[in-house]
Amino acid sequence: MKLSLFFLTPDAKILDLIRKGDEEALVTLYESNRRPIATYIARNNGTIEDAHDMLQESLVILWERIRAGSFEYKAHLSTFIYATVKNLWLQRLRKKKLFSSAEIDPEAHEDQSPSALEGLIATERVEMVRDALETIGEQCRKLLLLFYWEEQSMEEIAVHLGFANADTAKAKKYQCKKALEQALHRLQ
Amino acid sequence: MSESRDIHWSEDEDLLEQFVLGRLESVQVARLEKHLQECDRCRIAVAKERELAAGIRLAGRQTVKHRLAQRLEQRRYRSAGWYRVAGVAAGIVLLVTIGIYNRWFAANETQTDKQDRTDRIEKHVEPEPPRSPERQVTDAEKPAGDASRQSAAENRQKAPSLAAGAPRAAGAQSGNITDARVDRLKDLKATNVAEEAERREKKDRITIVTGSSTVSAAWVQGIVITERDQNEPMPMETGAKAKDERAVLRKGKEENFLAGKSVNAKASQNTIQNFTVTQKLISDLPASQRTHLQEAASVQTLLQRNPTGTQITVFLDSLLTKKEFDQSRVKTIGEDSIILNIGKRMVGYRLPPDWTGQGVQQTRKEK
Repeated sequence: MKLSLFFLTPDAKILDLIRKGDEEALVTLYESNRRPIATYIARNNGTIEDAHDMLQESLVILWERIRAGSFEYKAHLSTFIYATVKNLWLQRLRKKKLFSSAEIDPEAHEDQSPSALEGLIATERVEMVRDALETIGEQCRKLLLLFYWEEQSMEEIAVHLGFANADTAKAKKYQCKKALEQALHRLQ
Repeated sequence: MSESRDIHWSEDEDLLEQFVLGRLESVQVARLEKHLQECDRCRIAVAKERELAAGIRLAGRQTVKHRLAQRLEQRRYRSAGWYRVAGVAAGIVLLVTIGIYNRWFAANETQTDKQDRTDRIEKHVEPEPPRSPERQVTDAEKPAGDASRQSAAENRQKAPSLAAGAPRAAGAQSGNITDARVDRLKDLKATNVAEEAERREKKDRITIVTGSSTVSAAWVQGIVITERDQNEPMPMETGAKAKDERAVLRKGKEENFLAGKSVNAKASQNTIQNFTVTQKLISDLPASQRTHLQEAASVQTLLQRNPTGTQITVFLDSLLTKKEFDQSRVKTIGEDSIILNIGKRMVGYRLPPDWTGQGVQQTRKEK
């Protein structure tokens, strides 16, 4: 039985909307968090454009986590957004060498690359995959996004994209991966 | 150990994906990671899969970010649209307000103009104040102009045949001018009375003030004094039949002969000077003037005066022939009356009082 959104808290409504894939929830979150984020970024050598960018990125991370089912609601969404923006901004400042590394939260980011050079190479390769994804068909793009980004099961993907069953979706996913690898090979 | 090296679990597509996406149990993850330390091939496969997943996730994030930016832009545009609509609405309200404001003052101005126009007409007509019980003024108190008008009125009473043709500006002559002004200023009702007076006056008289010159027009009813038979000579020709017209001109100082629409250059001594006669059918009469046709012995006539002379337009049952019409003549009687011989008729007219100010005074003196 579906409960009316009327009885939910504002955060619960947002979470429900994001789980349903309603991107208007992100706009609502953006508007409600715009001022505190702008104030924070402005106080830390940032501009209004930086605040705009940081807030958008934090909202995308929130979206990604909720959609992937990896989000745990421990505090208000505004608290999560503020913390995410803070980490993202400090990370960017570190890249700009405006702040000392001592001020950066060590848990804020995972630096898995052994060296800066390898990190740059990995970043380039990731961006190349992103570009290659744009060259394959729209259905393949959607399928791979649903599988890798939103981490939906093959059954869910089959329903979402109108395949006969999970096996058909799985076969299609295999074809799409091969197409992406070929596109990536062409770009390289 | 060598056995585990030979089994490349990364060849299992599903297992590889589950490992990269973190969907495996921790025990299984630990076992696979142990194998990765020994198997380069599997390590490369896992690295490739991770790059693939990272690239696709990056694309996903950027897609959502791009759509979010678009939505925010649309919202901003909509807000701007609302501001624009609000601005346009405010502009319309401002224009309407200005329009109402201007209309209000224009209406006031128009009202003032109307009053001024009425005043000008009243001045031009110089109406006779009524002898109401409340405002009886002795003759000694009256200004000279009033006295002359009073005299003219008396003359008209003594000469009813000619007085019947006098202009009817009675509408504008009702009430004292000063009192009427005060009344009009006091309330709107009085203004309506003035407008009504103006309308009634306009029915009988049209006054157009252009610059310094004044063109006046008045409807008058000419009284048919005589109407001769077909073979009977024209009355004015009786004494001058044996003489030519030039002799008549010399003899009659104030007599003017007219032919058609031509203007007689001969001028009399008073203000009545050049006359032009035009004939028209009664059917050409304006509807407002047809009510004056009840009397059979009258001729509805329009007198128009301009700086160059006086135009007499006679409205007849049937148009005269050119020959008959060319014999039409005008004769001035005193300074406030004229006699028109047209066709078989001799028609008398009393001129409007303000056209013949000097004549009226002269008549009064003679009296």
